[in-house]
Amino acid sequence: MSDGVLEYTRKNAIRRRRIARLIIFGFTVAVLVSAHGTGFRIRDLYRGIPNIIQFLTEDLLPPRFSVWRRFLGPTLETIAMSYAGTFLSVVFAAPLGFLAARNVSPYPIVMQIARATAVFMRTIPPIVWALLLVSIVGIGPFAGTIALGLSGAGMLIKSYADSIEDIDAGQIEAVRATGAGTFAVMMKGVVPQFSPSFVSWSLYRFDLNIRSAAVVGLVGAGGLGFSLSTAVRLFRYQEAAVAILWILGLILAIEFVTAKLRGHLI
Amino acid sequence: MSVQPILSVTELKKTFPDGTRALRGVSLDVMPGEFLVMIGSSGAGKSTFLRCINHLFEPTGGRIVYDGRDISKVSGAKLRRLRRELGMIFQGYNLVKRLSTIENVLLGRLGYMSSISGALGLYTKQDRERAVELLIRVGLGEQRFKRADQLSGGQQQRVGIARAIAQNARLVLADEPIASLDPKASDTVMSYLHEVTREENITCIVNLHQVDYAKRFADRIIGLKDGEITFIGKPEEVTDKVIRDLYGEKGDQVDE
Ligand SMILES: Nc1ncnc2c1ncn2[C@@H]1O[C@H](COP(=O)(O)OP(=O)(O)OP(=O)(O)O)[C@@H](O)[C@H]1O
Ligand SMILES: [Mg+2]
Repeated sequence: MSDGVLEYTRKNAIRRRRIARLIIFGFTVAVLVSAHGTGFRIRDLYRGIPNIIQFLTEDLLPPRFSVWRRFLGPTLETIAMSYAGTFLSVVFAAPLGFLAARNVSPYPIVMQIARATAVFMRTIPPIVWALLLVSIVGIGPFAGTIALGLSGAGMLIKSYADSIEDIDAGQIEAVRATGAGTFAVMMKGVVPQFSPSFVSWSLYRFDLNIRSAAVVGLVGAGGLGFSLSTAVRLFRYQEAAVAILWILGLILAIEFVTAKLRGHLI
Repeated sequence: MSVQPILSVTELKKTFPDGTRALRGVSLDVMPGEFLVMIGSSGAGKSTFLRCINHLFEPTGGRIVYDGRDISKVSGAKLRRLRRELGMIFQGYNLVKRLSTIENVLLGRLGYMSSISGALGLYTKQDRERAVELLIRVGLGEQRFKRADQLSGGQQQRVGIARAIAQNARLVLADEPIASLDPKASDTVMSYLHEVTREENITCIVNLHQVDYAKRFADRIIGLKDGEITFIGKPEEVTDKVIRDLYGEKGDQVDE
């Protein structure tokens, strides 16, 4: 600070500019390297355009709407998978969320373990869980449900814990000061404050599960995703198009419903 | 036979982990039924003193005797039993905002219930009736099903008083109960606090910033400065000089 404010801030500004240049340079290099590594060529993309148009207009379109009924079952299966998956995650994540929250966790070591569990479960994407589980319990919605449940639990533990850490400590302290036991402090001081975020996060997870359900289905874990991948594998693209429309419609419908529910519950 | 103090504090010290010496040896006897007001500028250690008594802060030295029992070091079930007899009233009210007014009063019963039945809210019929009665007493009978955060600040603090009384507290610790309230609400809250604790013969230690309120309600006034008691006396003994000593040369209670 002996340089005085002007000199100090000037040096800072120069340093910031240098860092910005470095970042832009690094970014450009990374793009070029990765393009090379993946065999990406603008020319190929350009040449492929007619193919893409042909695929869209002749193979995929028009959707064969006559088969729409065939996806009714898988749609219900997707909803059921997502719901059961969400339920699993919530049941698993609710206690761990409390243990992972710095302000209410009984011991620091327990908090670390709970946090580590969350990170571990979250780092593994649903499709990887699904792949593993399909090979363990076989093709079908059961594998999908567990996959959604596990990956969702990771996210929910962290979201719950973060929300709990944000609540007003004064309200907890006041309940504790009445001589309430630990569990009563949780239920009366923490839970009422936490419940809006709990509902919000859980519904959001249900939303996400509907999307993920389509993805995990691709590797054989049931639902609409499975129907879609089957149609594609049999080159029935016009049927696949119907499946895609179903998925879109379902995602929008569920988002609408959860938004309404959230409004009512909070 | 002379009356025993309900609270006897000897050489109470609190040094925070960061090295702040908030209390440097505070000694004080509080007699049963007394309405004691503690004044002192910001950072004097008033909150720290109250919080050491119910162990929201752990004291780092000295002795606290409550009702003949040494409570300098208590934990677990003993601490729960102690806390239920000490009602606490906070500057920020600290009601559980999303619970109803009546349930906030009922929280005062948690110290008398097992943790499980408390968690499930299995209050007895008597508890509920008492809670209603207490709300009526602080003028909030009509508001009992409202959510706590829908009440005004003054109303919330009256619920805070009802919660402390619902504990059957024998000693109420009030940490700047009116610091966030306008003069009219301050009057109401202080009057209720004074009146209810007088009727129930509850001892009361109140931290206040406002010297005028202290003089109006206190049986005795304690002046705290830099973690030490520099004045103990009757309200009429609080002269301008005393106030100047406590709050610095400005001569008024407005600090910061
Ligand atoms: N948790 C804490 N950690 C470290 N220092 C603290 C902590 N709480 C309070 N202090 C310090 O202890 C001293 C006394 O604080 P205290 O809150 O008891 O004062 P006060 O008299 O209640 O002031 P106010 O009128 O502003 O409420 C202050 O210097 C404060 O900074
Ligand atoms: Mg204070």
